[in-house]
Amino acid sequence: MESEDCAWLDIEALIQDAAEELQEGELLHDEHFSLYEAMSAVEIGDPKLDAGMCTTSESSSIREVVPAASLSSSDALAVADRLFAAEATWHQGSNLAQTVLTCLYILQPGSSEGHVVLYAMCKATHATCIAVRDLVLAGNVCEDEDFVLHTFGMQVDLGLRDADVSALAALSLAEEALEALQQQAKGKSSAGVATGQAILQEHVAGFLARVRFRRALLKGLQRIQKSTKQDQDFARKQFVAALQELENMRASSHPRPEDAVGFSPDVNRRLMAPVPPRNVTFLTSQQTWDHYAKLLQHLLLVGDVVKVSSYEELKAFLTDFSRQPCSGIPRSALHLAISGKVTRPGEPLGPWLPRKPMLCAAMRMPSTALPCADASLFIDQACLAVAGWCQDMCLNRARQRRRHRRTVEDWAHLWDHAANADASPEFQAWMAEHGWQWQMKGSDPQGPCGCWVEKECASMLLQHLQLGFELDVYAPEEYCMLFWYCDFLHGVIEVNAQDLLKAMPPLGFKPPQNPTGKAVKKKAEVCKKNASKGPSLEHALRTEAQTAGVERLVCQAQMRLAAGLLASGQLPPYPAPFNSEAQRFEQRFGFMHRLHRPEPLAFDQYARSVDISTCTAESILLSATEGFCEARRVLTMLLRLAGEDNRPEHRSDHLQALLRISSQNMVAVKVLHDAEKAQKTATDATAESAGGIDGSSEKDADRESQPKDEPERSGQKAGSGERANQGKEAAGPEWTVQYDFAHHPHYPVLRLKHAALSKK
Amino acid sequence: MGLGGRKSSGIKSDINVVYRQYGGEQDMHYVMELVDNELSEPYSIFTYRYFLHNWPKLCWLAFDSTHCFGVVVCKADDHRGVQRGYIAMLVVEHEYRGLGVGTMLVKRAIEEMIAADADEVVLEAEVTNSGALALYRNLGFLRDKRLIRYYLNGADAFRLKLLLPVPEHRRMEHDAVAQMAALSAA
Repeated sequence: MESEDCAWLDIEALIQDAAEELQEGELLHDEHFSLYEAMSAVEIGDPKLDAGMCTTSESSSIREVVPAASLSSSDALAVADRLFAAEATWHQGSNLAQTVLTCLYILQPGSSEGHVVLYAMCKATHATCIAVRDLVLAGNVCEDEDFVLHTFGMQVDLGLRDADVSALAALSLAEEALEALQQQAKGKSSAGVATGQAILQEHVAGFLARVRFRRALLKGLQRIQKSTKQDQDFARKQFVAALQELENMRASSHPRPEDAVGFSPDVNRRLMAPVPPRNVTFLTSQQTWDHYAKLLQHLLLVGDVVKVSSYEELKAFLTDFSRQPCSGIPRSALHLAISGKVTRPGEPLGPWLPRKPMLCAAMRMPSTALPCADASLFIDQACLAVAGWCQDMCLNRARQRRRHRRTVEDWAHLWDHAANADASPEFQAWMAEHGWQWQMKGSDPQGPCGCWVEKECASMLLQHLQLGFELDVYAPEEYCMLFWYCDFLHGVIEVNAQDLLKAMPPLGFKPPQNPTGKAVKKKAEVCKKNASKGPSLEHALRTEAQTAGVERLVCQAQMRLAAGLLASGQLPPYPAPFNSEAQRFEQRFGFMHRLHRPEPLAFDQYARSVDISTCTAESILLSATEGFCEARRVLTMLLRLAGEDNRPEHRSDHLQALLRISSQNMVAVKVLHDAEKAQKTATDATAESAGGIDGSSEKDADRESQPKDEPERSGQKAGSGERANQGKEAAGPEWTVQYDFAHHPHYPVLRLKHAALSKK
Repeated sequence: MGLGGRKSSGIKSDINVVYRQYGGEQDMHYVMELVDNELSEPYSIFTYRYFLHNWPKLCWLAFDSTHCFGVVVCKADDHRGVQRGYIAMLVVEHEYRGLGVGTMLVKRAIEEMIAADADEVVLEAEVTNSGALALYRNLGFLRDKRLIRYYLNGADAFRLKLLLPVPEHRRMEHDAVAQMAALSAA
């Protein structure tokens, strides 16, 4: 520290003087001292805040570990299983320093060298941690809540490049030794000769399964980070092999891996970051094996991405994948596979990548000869927007919802590019020449590019709104306005898919011969080449329009149901001492005002179209029953068509779920309607017997009219209450109601309980 | 940050609750004791002082005679161009729950925020803390987003938000500015 340019001064007295000037409660800080700094500050010695504080009496012997060569066969198995539990716990959001790196056999590799199998297991675990760390970093979809990559400067070098090579070599040696033991058993020889330590015959198969599992998992995790179909297929084979071994591992679990020697929970405590410590509880054996089973199944799903060859397929694939409860590892692997980041120079692009050829095919444009510069720029921007959407779909569900909301400006800009392309004379001439039948709607300047953007943006907005149901973000009193908006967005998708379908040139359309230029001929060839995408594109658009159409019906019926519950008193109005429904509408949908298309809807529009002031609860419930009945009719028809058409199973499942929901709701709403009707009759009879019908009867008769049926958007005001256990005694005290999302994450069924039963 | 999750016992009743604003350093120990005893998240002295020194008017205390049994700690500042109130801590001792004291404390704090032109009020509450979720729902808060593994114990949180109406005087100012801009453009 000494140097000629500086002189060290003792400032203790100065600091002491300053400290004496400070009054109680005063703090010396710079202007940037924020809540974050305040929250990050720790009080040294407070066990709730000080992560580095050792709360147990730790002796130096804690770092002394029993040499692996001295372990009994059972103890070695316990160490191996504890290591799996530690790794699985890390995968599920704990940090490495408090999980895998509490294993002293990993921290001190020399201590396991005498045991061929444990040495290999430790090396392979270490190498797998590196592979996972690299995958998660490259995948770029994990946040702190998904995966903790910090190592707090641990001694173990997670950047070790050849860790995989030496680990695989060690695993091969271990496998050979264990196989030799098996052979010896067949020849009735004694165990332990080949490994140099005692491994009982009863444990050999279990160890062998673990060694093979480790090798398959490591190899698979390495290859899944490469770009080609061959790489993905190889990884897939490894994961299948690992899954097979997993069953043997489960069958040979150590009964008490938590008692394994060689683990020290506090070994890295002093190296931890100065943040309040998180408690870490290792997974049990059962949870550990379940974790690996799920991880491998999800990694196998990732491998299916190579079957994708069009934008419509990619969209369906990502939508299905994102609904799986995947951990950060498979989500990272998928994003890496579809980002194209690992495609090596000169390597052909995988057809599953959302690049220019895929997007051009989705809009039936020639990717190698786009009609004009505006169209070219639009396609480039569309690639960026779709790549962003793909990344969002690989985030966890809560982040996904937030990112969808944040990306509306990107979609607004994309629509501007689309409008420029649609308006360009070159593009319009190209459309006319290539058989497009686009019909302008009045003064609407939107062409097919804008139409496509609007449809995709509506789809993204729907995902945002629907994710709120999954994440339990909405209260039932909001359902009316939510289904009202979902109805609108489904409508945009339905109409735009139909418009594109009508406007697209027929399959195999050949432009008229143009004697003046070669360019047209070239374009015609490209069109022919892309014609192979034709049937699937048309089929996808037709399916999209049909599904959106029937979901509109379900949304409209759900909206009326919610309004009926409010009108009948089944759900109390939303309390609002500080604001009103207008602010709640703004809170949910205000962000959409940054978009041109889909046209953002305002609260006034909602309030006008759902005005139920002239309707009775009975009439609203009747209209909801009719809505579910109509949805059932259309769903039944679509399911019959899907069966004839041999459509993907997941689509049929979706339609089946909607059918079940519509059927159950139809019955439930009918019961409520009848109860409402009976109660009204009883009330009228009581009033009559008590002195006849007064002047209000005329008003009541007026109020029997049906609710306004979608002058702009159909629907009525929502009811209120919590999502679960929302049951409120009805005005007619017969039934309590509760929403249930068991059949579908985005559409509830209404459960009824007789009031007499619910009181018990 | 959030509310402790113990269930209401309703042991106390018929008491005369006195509410008052944070009065200075002499009240600090009430706040710290209540929060440390009732909430699972650990807070340092810096966190308490960050809130209480900067926004003493947004801290309200509830007393039963001389015994302080409830507190709300808040702040209000600019968040991306929006005046945002933030409810950091709300505690009511176990024996005093079910009397509406938590609601009253939060109401007092929100009224102060409104007086200071807040546009919105936010907070986090654990997804399983049904008491807190019901309390804020009854004040008009919506669940704005879900925060995965937000707490140190690994539990998820909801970010709750109350969007406040634009006050009349600000709406009029806004309209006037828009009219001026329109006149200038003409």
